[in-house]
Amino acid sequence: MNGTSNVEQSANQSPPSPRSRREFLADSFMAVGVMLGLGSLAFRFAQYLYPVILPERLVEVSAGKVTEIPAGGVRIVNLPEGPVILESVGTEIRAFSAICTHLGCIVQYHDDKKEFVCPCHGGRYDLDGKVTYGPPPRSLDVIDVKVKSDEVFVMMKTQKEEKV
Amino acid sequence: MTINAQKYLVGIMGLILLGSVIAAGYLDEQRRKTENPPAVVVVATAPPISADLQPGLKLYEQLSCVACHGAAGKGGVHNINSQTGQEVPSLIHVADSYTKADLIAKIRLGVPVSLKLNPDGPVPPLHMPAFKDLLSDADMDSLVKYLYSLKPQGDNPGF
Amino acid sequence: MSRLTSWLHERVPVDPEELRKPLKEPLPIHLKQWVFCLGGTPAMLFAILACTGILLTFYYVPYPAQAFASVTNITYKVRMGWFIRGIHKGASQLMIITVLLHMIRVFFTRAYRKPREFNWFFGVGLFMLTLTFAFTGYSLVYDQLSYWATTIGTNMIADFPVLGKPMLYALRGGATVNPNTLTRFYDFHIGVLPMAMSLLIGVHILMVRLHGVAKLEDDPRTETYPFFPDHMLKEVIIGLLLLIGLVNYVVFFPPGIGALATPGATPGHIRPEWYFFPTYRWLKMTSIGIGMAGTLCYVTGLFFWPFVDDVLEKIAPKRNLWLFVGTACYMVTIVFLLWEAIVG
Repeated sequence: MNGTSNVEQSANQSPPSPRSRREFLADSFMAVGVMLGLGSLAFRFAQYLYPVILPERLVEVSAGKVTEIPAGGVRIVNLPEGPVILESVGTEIRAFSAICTHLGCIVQYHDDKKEFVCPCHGGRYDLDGKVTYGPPPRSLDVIDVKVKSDEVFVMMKTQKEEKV
Repeated sequence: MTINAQKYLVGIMGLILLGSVIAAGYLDEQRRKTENPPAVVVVATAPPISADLQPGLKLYEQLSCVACHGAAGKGGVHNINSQTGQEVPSLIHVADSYTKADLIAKIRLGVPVSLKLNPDGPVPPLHMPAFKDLLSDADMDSLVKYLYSLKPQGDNPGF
Repeated sequence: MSRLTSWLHERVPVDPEELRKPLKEPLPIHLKQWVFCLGGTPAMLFAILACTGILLTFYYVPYPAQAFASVTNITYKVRMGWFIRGIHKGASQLMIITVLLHMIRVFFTRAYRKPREFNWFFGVGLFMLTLTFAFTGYSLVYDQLSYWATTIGTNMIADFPVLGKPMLYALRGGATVNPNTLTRFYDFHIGVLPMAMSLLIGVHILMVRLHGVAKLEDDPRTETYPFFPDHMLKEVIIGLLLLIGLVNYVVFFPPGIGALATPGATPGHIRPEWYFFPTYRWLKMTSIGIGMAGTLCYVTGLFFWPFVDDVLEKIAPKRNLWLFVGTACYMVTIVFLLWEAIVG
């Protein structure tokens, strides 16, 4: 391209003449240098775009009073950390995540059939959180519950930074 | 300078750029950990506040509460067609009108759509955002403490 | 290889020789001086600004309550956020400076003369666009300086005769500064202006290619040299120099942020950015009528300069009146700039 015409040079076969080899070296050095420089800049741009993913930890969150859960029934609570299903089974309080394991919609409780139904693709779960119908791949996530005096506490995953 | 020499210069400059960018990347870790947003002074004439209210005031400014609710919660920002007097409400009386739990709930859950004064009019442009779990419990306590302190004292009824 | 090339050529019927022609464009020998590379520099800076600008939109929120917080987030929390923002700010200052230097070079080499008058118009248009870009971008930070500089700047528009008030209301999206105002400035900055700028840059470069590079007056040399690789390498060196300069500048002088904008309280000392100092100084000196008239005269004179040059040439042929008038105007501008900068 730089017009070094060597009459004896044919298309691909003869050994590079000293002048074009010098050019080739210069070209390669230039290409490598520029690509490394611009590449590092591009890498930083990509780093900037990738979000900071904070580590998850568990926090204890109040989910209301025991009396707010209908006896032998279900209450779905919308906590800032996520939606929680609270079930009163005999003397025990159980908790599940109300997030459908299929694609993340929030399930609704149907008291007549005693099941949870996901409005997005029709997935259904029983009171144990097990899938009874539809596309969800696994049961509802179990959430640890603690009852202290008359208040229900659930262990929720959060990405909030721990304040020192 | 010959063409080839210029090409080598370009290559070297590329490497210098690489070095500079690497240095910048290394500094990034340090900068993000040690530097904090500067303490914001909102109004020069605001009376000095006590040390235990400082964290709450800092949060009030950093989270942009002041942008809508005004300095020291005085309000005055237009919010067309909103039921709160077509303005973003002032916060100086929250100590009397909200229990701590209610106030925290309000901040965490926000008000997704401000209620319209005239139903045929436009949706008010400003609404209270939901801060969800952006604030730790300790931060929330500081903020509520500060908000409760906005209540006018004695001969300054705040009207 | 040739099978692949003929396969491609069937589907993309362009003649590769035609494509290589611009690369072989012979440039007059005086272009080897670095001062003549000042034209490509703003274009490269615009590319850098576009890249960093687009990156900034990933984290910036154009709504008053969140704008300041999002800029703070970028500056202090986002990985390499300070880096991207710093390069964006630095490149914007550099772009104004290089556009000015390029304009001054074109002026003093009289490259605007017939038949190249139109390109001077496009160039002045590009200069105005650059200033508008800087003004709208500055207003997006929403700290005290940014907010009040924008308020003052837009209020000046209201003083424009007849059309002033309607223009101001249209710009603000309302009678007073409100959430619409920020959104409008944002949309101008990331949508309308980039489109206009890209178009004008394209036309500006096209015109130079169509006319060929202007020959220097009184330069007897007729040798030329090819664009590729000679001049192109020069441009690449400048481009890399800009990047190295910007990266190192940001490393040593990272961007900060001021206090959040309070619509109720103007800070004690407020003034626009340095590139508006000459206008600001002038407007402070006179009544609003004379101030506006003077600014308008200046801008119109600048825009139609090729024709002013023709008139001056007719008045006093070969006496270089253009040089005196032009230099005088530049001197006054610089004096006003320094006056405002130093004395305030």
